[in-house]
Amino acid sequence: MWKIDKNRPTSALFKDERGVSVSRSCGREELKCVQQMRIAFPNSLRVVSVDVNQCHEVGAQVYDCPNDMVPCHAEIHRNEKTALLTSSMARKLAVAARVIEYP
Amino acid sequence: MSTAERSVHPSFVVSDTATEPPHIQGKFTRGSIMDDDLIYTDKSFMIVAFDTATATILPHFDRRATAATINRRIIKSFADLQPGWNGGSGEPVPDEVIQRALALIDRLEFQDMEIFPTGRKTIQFEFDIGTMSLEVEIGADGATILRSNEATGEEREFELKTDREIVDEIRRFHG
Repeated sequence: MWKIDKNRPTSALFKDERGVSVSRSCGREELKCVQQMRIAFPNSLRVVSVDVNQCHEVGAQVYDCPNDMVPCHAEIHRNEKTALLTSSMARKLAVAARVIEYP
Repeated sequence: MSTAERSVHPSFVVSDTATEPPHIQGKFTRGSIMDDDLIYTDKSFMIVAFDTATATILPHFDRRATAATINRRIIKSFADLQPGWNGGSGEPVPDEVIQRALALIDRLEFQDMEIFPTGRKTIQFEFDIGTMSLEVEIGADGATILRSNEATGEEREFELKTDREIVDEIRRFHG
């Protein structure tokens, strides 16, 4: 799900009928977030970050959805009625996503 | 497998030392299976086989036919996606969507796209030319198109119903 030339995720990553599942930082240091993400998703090779403000700028909403496994779980939705992002929203977030380098 | 080769997907082998046939000039395609299992087919890497059991350079390298073959294989691989493939969410891509994407591949003269599954049971073709991009998200009932220009910020999102309309749009994008 990665565009090598652009060094960013594809917008397809942000197209989910149930909203985009993410983990909020919840005040944790970035490295700690990445470490915990990699434990939860051991097959992942890259982690990207999108700010809540960037979600709002494209018109999307971010909802806290904590669960037992991921207390800082959140979801990015198109609006309060529809979870699925528009193609434009998905692409803008994919472009805005910052690749987190980690050891 | 030699150290110069590395497996990026169970069905694919790439080599970073293979000599590119002289009639293959530059990059002709690039694809992604999922989860960063990338297939490189540029000057740094080239596909030398589709199957680890027959690791040989394809005999008659036809640029477009090879790209279409690779693209078809990528699309077919989406049939193996299991529920939850996308980090816990993600539904399998329905067969009718896979068949529609395959039918489009057969009709396209431009095969220079990246292909990805989405979490909404669709398949996305992505074409990039400079700052211009075209996303074609193929579903059972048609396709959602997003044309955008990163340099100007212009965007246009619209729906197309028929394969012919989709093929024409991709042709227009390529000028």
